[in-house]
Amino acid sequence: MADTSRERLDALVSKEDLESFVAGLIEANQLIDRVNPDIIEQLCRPRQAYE
Amino acid sequence: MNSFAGHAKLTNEEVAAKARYVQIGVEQSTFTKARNAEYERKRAEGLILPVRVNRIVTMDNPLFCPVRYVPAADASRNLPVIANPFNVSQEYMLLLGSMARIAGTDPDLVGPRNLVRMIEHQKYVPKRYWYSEAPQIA
Repeated sequence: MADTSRERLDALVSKEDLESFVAGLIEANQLIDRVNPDIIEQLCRPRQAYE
Repeated sequence: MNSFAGHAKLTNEEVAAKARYVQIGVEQSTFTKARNAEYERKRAEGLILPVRVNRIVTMDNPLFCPVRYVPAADASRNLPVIANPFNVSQEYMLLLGSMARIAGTDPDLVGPRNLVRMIEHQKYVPKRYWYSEAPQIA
């Protein structure tokens, strides 16, 4: 089952596209951290308080 | 932002006035059509920061979308109500594992997140969309 799923996944998504996608998500996360970190801190602080 | 507004006893408008809301736009390089006009305007104003990728690998593939929405009578659209149950495919789990390996994270520790929160947020869906078989959190 897992082998079939792996083959299906490999057919759907190439290694190059997956690497590009992951690199994009990492870049997006870095951008989020850079954009107005004060706001992120303000928005996250109360949430941490009750989680 | 809603959580912050509630906690800080501010209205959403007051929070919005304090924040310059910048979003990230993940853009597929092969997409050549004109994008939504509002997207283009915000991008030009620096309110959307573009990140280009070869392909958004999860887009438009139900195998990579654990959430199913209730079909509307008009078959071309779905209601904003999550159908029961979530469908986490083997391919989706393998995809998450492959992404973790590329990012240098333990693939055994990745999985779908916030599924319960999605169900909880259905309480914000207008009553006219409520659906008796959708998953409910008491």
